[in-house]
Amino acid sequence: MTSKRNMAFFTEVEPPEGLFKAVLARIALARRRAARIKLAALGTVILVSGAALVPAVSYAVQEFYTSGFYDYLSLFFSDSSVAFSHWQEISLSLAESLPSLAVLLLVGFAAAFLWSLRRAVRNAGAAFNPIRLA
Amino acid sequence: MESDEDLIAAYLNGDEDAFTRLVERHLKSVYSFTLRFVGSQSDAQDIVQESFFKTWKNLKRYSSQSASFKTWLMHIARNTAIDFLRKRKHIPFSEFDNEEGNSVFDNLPDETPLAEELLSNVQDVKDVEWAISQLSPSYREVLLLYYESDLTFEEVAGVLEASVNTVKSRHRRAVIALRKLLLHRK
Repeated sequence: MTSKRNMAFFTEVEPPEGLFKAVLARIALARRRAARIKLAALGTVILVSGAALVPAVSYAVQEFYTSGFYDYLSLFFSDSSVAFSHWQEISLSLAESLPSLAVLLLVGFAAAFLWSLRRAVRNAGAAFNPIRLA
Repeated sequence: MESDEDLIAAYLNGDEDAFTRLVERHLKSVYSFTLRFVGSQSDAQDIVQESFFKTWKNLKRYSSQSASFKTWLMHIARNTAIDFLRKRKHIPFSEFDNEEGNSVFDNLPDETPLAEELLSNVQDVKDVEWAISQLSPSYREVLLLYYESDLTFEEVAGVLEASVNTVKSRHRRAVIALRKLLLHRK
């Protein structure tokens, strides 16, 4: 059966030169704009999480000392034979004295900082590299 | 050769050039349809760019189970063309349309030869192009999608979001109207 398109009156029209590149350029510009917006958002997360890390570290260190966690942990280094012979009780004490909120804050802010930094580095190319058309 | 669905999957997996190959493959079809639908080269170029942009933006939402990529793309192109014309307040109704946008030839009873037989009797391409440009948009798009874009009736129904029977009926009326226009031209 003859293809319908073989009917001469319905042959496709050749697009003008430049239309192909115009289509790609439009998409590339939109992609770059989206990458820049994403980069700006990631930059904000980096700044906020980075700034929050400083007091989070300070708070965690303070809590480690005041909670008694540091004292229990130091037993393994100062008197290891006793510490290992009572390792179950000392482990329980370590778990109870762990400053969980401080650890959570420290890990949370550090993870946010590192994750957003990694995404920003990956995104930077798309945001600032010259547009390459086919 | 990679299928459209393979290219889409490749693009979504990070192959930036895959979408470029999709554009290359379908640009001619989309441009041809749009040009004949709106009748202006510069408008057609704007609409084609907007259509591919919308396609790229919504690519993640495309599902091959609901329609072929070409059907989906032509659906976007057709809707973009209609929106474009509405914004310009320039709906290309022909002088043969009444106020409701229906062709005055609609109600004339006629025996319709097959479109192939009809067009094989026409000597001048320009007469056919003129006649097509005079059809109402709903008739024009059916003929263009079926004959020029080479879609099946089912695919045309997908593009127009209409039933297959509606498309076939509209196709028949479009061919009747085309015949009348060609006779009128003579």
